[in-house]
Amino acid sequence: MDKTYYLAKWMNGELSEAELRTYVSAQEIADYKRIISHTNQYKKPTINTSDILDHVLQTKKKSSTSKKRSFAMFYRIAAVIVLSFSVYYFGGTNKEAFNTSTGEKLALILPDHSKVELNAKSDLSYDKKEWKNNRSLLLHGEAYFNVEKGSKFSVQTSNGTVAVLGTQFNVLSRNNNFEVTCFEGLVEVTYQNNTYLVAAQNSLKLVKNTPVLSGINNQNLPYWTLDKSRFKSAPFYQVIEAFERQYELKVTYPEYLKNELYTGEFTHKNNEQALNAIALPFNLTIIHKKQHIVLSK
Amino acid sequence: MNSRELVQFCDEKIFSSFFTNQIDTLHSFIFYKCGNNALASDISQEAFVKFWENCSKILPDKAKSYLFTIANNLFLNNYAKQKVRLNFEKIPQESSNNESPEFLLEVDEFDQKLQGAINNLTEAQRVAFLLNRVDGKTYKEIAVFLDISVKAVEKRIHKALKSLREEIDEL
Repeated sequence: MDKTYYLAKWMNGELSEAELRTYVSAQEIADYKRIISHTNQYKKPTINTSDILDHVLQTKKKSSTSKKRSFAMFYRIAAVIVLSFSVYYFGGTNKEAFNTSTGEKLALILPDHSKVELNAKSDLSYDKKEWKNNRSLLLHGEAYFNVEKGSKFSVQTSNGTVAVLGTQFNVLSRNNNFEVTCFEGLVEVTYQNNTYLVAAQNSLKLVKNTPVLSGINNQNLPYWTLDKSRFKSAPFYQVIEAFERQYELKVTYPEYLKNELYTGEFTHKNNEQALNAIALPFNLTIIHKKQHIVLSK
Repeated sequence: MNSRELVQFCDEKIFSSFFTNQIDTLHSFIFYKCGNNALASDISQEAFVKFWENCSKILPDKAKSYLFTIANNLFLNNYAKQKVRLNFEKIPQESSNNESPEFLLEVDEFDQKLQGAINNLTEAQRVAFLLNRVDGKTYKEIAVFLDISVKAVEKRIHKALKSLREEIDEL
């Protein structure tokens, strides 16, 4: 770790007091604490927000050309969410990368207007320069794609490659868990040198490392884009992992439950409800310990 | 760049939600520079007017730093020469009655020293430090606003803390 700005690191909780002690005296630390505790009591300056907004909006008549867009909701989400995330540019390489942490979701628009939604704890990257010739993305985690028609569009994951021409599909690739769901069009999945075609309203899923095709029931969007996770005969540990990706909480549970099968869903909006939805079918008791949840019989 | 991607900020709803999310921080940002609440409101308003006029040219991932740059330029063009006199109101603390008057006086004195020292920080240090302490912005968020690296933010905050302590010590 770079230690030059130890005071900033310490104030941000990245450095412990004991570590700080190697740079400065105990008296100095006491002084810094006093400064910090005083500044914590300062009030933000007050401002009359709504007056200013009214004034700003009046300065420019809304351009009459803006048409109703069917993706208005998408844009709204995209604008708000994309902005609240930082976009990482990697100097020189033209690589565009996006990532989400626990409980975050991200909507973005690719240069060809294809739309992507990224679930929590996922990474997505592509080469900006090469994009025109080669629509290829790297994915770790889970994402939903709505692809504009055009040349071949491919998503590469550690488990396999998913290729399409123009369609809507969801890809989940975490560790050994690989699942591709096609909502519209046709998707080509390459897994261990075998090619599988997944038609609309079908899903390809690994069951004990063998790909299995199954239908989905008139579903138009992956459940996670509607802020819930749904499982059908999924091992319990995968359910807990999915829960931990949405909430800033660690969960422990009896070892024997690990591969028990769970069918049901939980919400991403309320951790109490979500926990109940997971624990009730197994008749488990929920114990809260700060950022830690213990499930037991 | 394609047009569909760019018109987002011309949508009144999207603009309003961006406005609501950013106005407080923008206002604080200018306030920490000039120490004048009314002036900070004026500049924030003017900056948003410019932003709104240019809504069709704004890239989503540069929107925040664009907004803060406009505000900063407005500030520099018009008012930068004035001396800073920040004055913070304090959030009322639950005080227990057994604190002696001497103790309260000492707290008050310390506070005056601290506010004086904050006014004497460089503008860059003061803005980064106060956005973090008073507005609760993370280093990463501040880096996006100012269009600088997280490391540069850390440097400013580190130096701010250091000189605050030194100045209070001298008095």
